[in-house]
Amino acid sequence: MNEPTDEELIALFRKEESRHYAFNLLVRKHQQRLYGFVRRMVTDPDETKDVLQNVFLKAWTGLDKFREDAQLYSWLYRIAHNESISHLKRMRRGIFTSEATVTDRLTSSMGSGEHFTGDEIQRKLQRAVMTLPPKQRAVFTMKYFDELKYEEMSRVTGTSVGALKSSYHIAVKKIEAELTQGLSRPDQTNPVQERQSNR
Amino acid sequence: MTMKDHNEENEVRKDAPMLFGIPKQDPFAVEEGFFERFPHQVQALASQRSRTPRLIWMKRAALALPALALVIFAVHSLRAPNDPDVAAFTPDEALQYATSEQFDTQTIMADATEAEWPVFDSVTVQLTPNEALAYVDQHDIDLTDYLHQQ
Repeated sequence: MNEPTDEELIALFRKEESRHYAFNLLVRKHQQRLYGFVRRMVTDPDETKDVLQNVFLKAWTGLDKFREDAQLYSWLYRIAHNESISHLKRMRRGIFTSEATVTDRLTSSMGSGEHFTGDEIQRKLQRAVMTLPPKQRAVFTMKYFDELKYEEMSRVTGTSVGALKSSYHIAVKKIEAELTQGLSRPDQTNPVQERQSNR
Repeated sequence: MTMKDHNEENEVRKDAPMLFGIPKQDPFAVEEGFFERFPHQVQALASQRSRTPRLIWMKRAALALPALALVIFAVHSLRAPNDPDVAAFTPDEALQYATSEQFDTQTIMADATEAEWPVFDSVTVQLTPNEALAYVDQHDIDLTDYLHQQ
């Protein structure tokens, strides 16, 4: 059986008798891509699950008002973007909670192979991504990992294309600086060059 | 991608050779069966949520009503006890109004009952006409000049 289109899912959702069935299909269809984005944003698997649950619960309550001139995936992506940023802000709300504390807590799961299967350079990259402020992290994740076009990113974030380009460029420079930190010492090697020379 | 976009992309890549040398892969592990279970979990939460909106509103109303009653009581208590129109005048304004040409004090005083007489901040003693006469008599006040002026 072919996977239903988003339009078909919305039509099914708007009928009372097929509402639950349509929603189940909708979650199945979009969960993995949205999970990827949210996981990049918050890193920790349990926090990711919480955020993703909120994303789909908001979709459940808002889908009746969804305008069909927008793409369903872009709309869900926008909810995921907003929820991730709100979640990160909530985590920092405590008086004694610094950005570094939150980042350490979120990235602690990367120490175990159960949650993180990447090599050292992937670990370093994700740690560098986590040093970015939440909004900039979202811009970087959308462009670098999810390869969204700036116009689509603009619809998701509500930010102008020019501002997004600038934010992405700054994020890229920051991450490059994080990745190359300490590599100027002669005893350190560039893991990317090392891997390429081993091929 | 337009030529301009392409150039911009190259510009960004030039600034970060190490970042763009890293192969893109998903390094995150997801527990087995997560994507099978997750839709059911969300579905259960959504169903729960759609069954309880009335209860939520009742709880909210139960919390809001006492708060609203307190606010109304506080506002009522803080308001001036006198007629707001009277309380809005300062004693000077009242005097100015009383001495204006349109103001016929005798008519107003005759029409007004004692309870309706305005109370001014600076007036601490209210006398009935009989009490006023007794006061004049007791203090032996000569009203001749005053009566000549009238």
